[in-house]
Parts: sequence; structure tokens; C-alpha cells
Amino acid sequence: MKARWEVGGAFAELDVAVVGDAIRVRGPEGERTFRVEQAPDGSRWLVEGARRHRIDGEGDEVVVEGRPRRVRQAPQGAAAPPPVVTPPMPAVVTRVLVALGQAVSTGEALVTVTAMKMELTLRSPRDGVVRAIRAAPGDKVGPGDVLVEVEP
Amino acid sequence: MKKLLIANRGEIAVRIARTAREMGLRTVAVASEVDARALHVRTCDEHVVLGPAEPARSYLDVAAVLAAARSTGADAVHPGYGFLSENADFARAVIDAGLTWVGPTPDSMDRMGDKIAARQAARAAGLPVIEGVESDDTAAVAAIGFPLLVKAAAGGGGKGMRVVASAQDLPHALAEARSEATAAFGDGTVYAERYLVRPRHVEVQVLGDGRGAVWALGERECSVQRRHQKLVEESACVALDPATRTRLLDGACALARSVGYVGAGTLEFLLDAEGRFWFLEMNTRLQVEHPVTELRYGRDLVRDQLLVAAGEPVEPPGEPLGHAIECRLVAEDPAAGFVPGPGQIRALRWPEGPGIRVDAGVAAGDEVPVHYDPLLAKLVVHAPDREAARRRMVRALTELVLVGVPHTGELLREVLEHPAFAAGELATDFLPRHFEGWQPPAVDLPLYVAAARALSGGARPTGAVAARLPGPWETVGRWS
Repeated sequence: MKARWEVGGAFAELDVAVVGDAIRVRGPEGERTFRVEQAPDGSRWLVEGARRHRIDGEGDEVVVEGRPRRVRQAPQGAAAPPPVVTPPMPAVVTRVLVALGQAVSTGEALVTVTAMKMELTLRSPRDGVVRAIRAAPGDKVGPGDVLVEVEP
Repeated sequence: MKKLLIANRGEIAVRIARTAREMGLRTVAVASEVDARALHVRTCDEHVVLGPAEPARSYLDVAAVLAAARSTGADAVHPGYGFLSENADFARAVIDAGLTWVGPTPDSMDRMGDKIAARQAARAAGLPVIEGVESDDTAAVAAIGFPLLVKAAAGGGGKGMRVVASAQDLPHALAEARSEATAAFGDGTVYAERYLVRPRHVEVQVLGDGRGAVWALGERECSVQRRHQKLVEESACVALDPATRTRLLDGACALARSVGYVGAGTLEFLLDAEGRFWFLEMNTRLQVEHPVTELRYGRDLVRDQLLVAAGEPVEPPGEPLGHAIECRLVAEDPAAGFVPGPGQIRALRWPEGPGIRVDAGVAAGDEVPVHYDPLLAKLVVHAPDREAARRRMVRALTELVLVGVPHTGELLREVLEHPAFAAGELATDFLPRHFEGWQPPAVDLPLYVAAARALSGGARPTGAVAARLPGPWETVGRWS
């Protein structure tokens, strides 16, 4: 079955099929077949003719030859979400720099957060007015938590 | 000395505990609440939870650390690096409590810890000191000429440091540096020095035996840095000819001797393309990158520190052997401006084999907390020459599997493979110069997709043995 796959941020239409103890992949570059082997110690190997690659990872994350990549079937009709004020990593809020109702411009500093001794400033994605503040110093926050809402 | 309290966390606490155990000492870990089950706690014989996650209420809480030593009957304290390691008042409190302080005397810590005082001591010992002014007066600073560097007297780790390109930027830069230094160190004193364009960062390991001898254990080149923090260190430095090396090591020893230095310490220098060097500062503690020195000199610097602290003799250093390189695995995403990334380590396989040492602060299944330095582990290799060591490190980084948090492993592998690194053409701008905007290379899509399928169990594996042990990715992530 043909599907859209995401590999390390890139996308490709691929037809991936399990055929017996092998995985067949048909893509723009042609067709390849890998046999999957599992050793007694639990390690897994992809075998393609005389070549073999040790495969490590967990869930969507795969490591081949030391290179870690996120690999997953791309969600249907995924569109880029509108920009929001959210930290790129789990962090702790250090300062809130704006007040409710305040007019802000694109790029203006709204909140500072800290993670692992590094401070990061989250900035306004647009010109607008601060409609909600959902962060206070000391709060533990993560990606997806919208800390400040700015309406045009 | 029978029981050692290690006033630190992460890889350095684990590393110190290993040596202590080899020497027959009992070990006491201290931890914050989020670290209560961390690897360094599991490595020690006993542990004491000091307080909440914030460093000020746990690892930096002098009273809590001393109480932990009292309640466990520890008779010595090793501070590691960072946290309280360069706090002379802590060292005095340890000594006043009747415990053995594993470090230099508090007076020499005071003397060398203040960067302005250290510059004066270096000048008195005959070392070249980079041209600068020990003042933050705008006119006096501007007289150095531009570009110049504003630095915090109590500084470290690039905090309170500003490169100033022109006179009009100076007042603002001084104000910012003062405020950052006050926030980070509780001391807003700043000074300024000439900014060298594209220098190398070279440092000298010294060891004072406490009986009058001070030795230099070679140099370390630490030019590959991001945000003024090191990522790759090596020994020896390819840019030093024998005569310059002798002057550098002798000068470092002379300065350490002049302040009566005892135990392990590091003197940092800048080295320019003409082989001229200038003293920058001294770190009165064990350095993160000390293992490259240990591998070349075949000795254990933590053992040396403990012997000196106990008043026992230590062996003078012999001749160094081969070449050693260290890479810092840091939980930061190098493809996104080195944004730190805490999280859970869900799969982990360290490299193995000849000439490889791993000093790690985490194991599979561990949480990497948001509150502390992002250093996960140090990979260190030793080989007969630099090229062999470089290839060994590339091999080690290829074997590494670390899933769950972003890290610097893949970037470091490309650093080690870069022609400029292979040629030894290093300077402190190496990373921005060659790896600005770095992204991981495109991958072989079918291979990865097939791999993903294999992992998620889409294929029935062959060659499987009925009675086998579960692999790491089948168990980690399900731990409670």
C-alpha cells in the first residue's frame, strides 16, 4: 500500500510491504528488499544481500550507523499549524514580560524560559494584543503549551 | 579518609565514585529531589536528598551539604566541577567542620578565582597576559581598541561575556555584562581585554603534590566550542612546537607554584597563529575534559586529588603517550541552534572496543532533568597518534545509539570527519565557521522506513532464537 512517509523531516511516497520475513520498499528510486534478522541478544539487523545494518531505536525513532532519525507514516492532510507562543523544549518559565491587553509587535519578547542553564526568549509571532497569559514564573512548560495568546 | 561525600551530580559524580571505590573508600551521593534515583545516586553506597530541584536549594546549599556529611559520617568532600567547586567559603566551611577538603587551599581559590587578581598573579609570575584593563570605566576600556571583550571577574561558562565591535556599543555591552554577571555569580564586577580574532583555546593541567612540587601534565586543545562552551578537547595540541610547549608548561607551573597551588588545576590560555600565547584564567578544580590528560599520562587525576588531600605522596608524571580526544555528548539539538532538550533516554548503546572510555551520567530509562547542565556523557578515545584517535572517535560515534533526547553525537561525528579538523586547523570560531546552520544529512529513505517497520514489529524476524533476552528497546520506556 502506497503511503506518505516522514523520514528525518523529509517526505516521500513509498509502498512498504511485509513479504514473509522481509520488507519490500518501492519508492521513487526503485525497489529494495531487506530481510529482518533478530539475534539471540535481541539486536535486529536489516540484511540486503551481503550487506547488513544493525538497527536500534524505540518507537518512531530509528538509529542506523549512529544517525538517529524520526520515521513515521505522515498524518493525512497535515497542514502547518498557525504560529503560537510555545517553548521548543520542556522548560521552566523565568519571566513574563507583557501584561494582559498590551499591544505587541512581531518579534517582541513575551516570555523567557530556561532549560538546562540556558535562557530562551519567546517572541510574538504577529502584531496584535495580548489576549491571554497562561504562564507564571516557576511554571514547568513544554512544547505545545501556549504561554501567551496574541490576537491580531 | 574512609568515607567520601561527592557534592555533585551527573557524570562527574559517577566518575569520582568509581575511583573512590577503587581506593577502598565508602561513597556518599547527594541529590536533589528530581535526582533521587539518578545514576550517580545508584553508583554510590549511600545518598542524601538535599532539597528541591533548584540548585540554590540543593546542590548549592552549603548547610544542606554539610548536614549530609554529618549525618552519614563522611570524613571528606569532593566538589567535582561547577556547583560549589570554586566556592572558597564552602571549602573553608568543610575544613572548619573537621572534614578533608579534596581541592586546593581556600586562599589559593580566592586568589585565582577572581580573574582580575589572577591576571595580576600571572603577570607577577612572568606569564604574558592579554592586554586589557581591570576596570569597567568606559573611557579606560575603549583605550584598549576594538574589537574588545568584556568579561565578568567572577565568570565562567561564557556568562557575562560580550564581544564589543565599536565604541558606540560599549556602554550597552558593559551594562548588560554587569547585569548578567550579577544574576549568575552575585558579583557584577567586569573587566575588559583585547579580543583576539580566531585564536586557539589551549589549557595546561597542573598538579601540586602538597609537598612543594607542582607539575604540568601537558596541554589540552579546546577550540571547538559553542556559546564559549567546549564540545571537543584533545591532547596534544598540534599547533605547539616543542619550544613553545616548554615555555607554556613551565610558565603555567611557575604561576601555580607562586600561589602555593595544591591538587589538580587548569590554566587557560589563548594561542595565536604565530605561536604567541596569553594567560586567560585558572580553574581551581578538576576540569570536565580531564580524561584526555589521564589517558595520555596513564594516571587517575581523581586518585591524585584524593592522595594529595590525604597527605599521601603522588608519583611525578612520566612522558605522555599517543593522542587522546574527548567529545561531549550534550542534550541539545545542534540542528536547532543548540536548544536544550530534556527527556527520557529510551534506547542507549555506548560504543565499545579498544581505546574507548565512556564517562556517562545517565543510563537507559533515565530522565534527563530540565534543571541542570545538559552534559550526558563524555566519549574519550586514546590511540598512538592524532589521525588514529580521530578515526577511532568517528568509529565510536558511529556505534553510539542514544534515543529519547536530542544530542550532539551526529554533529560531532561530522566535526571529526571535517577536513579542517583532520588537518588540525582549529580556532575558537571553528563551529560557526564550518557548521553554521548545520542540518543532519539526507538519509536513505527505504532503509530507514524498512528499519522503522522492523522495529515496530511489522516483519517476522528470522534467525530468532526461542529463548532470548528482551532487547533494550523492548524494556525501556515501560519502566515505572
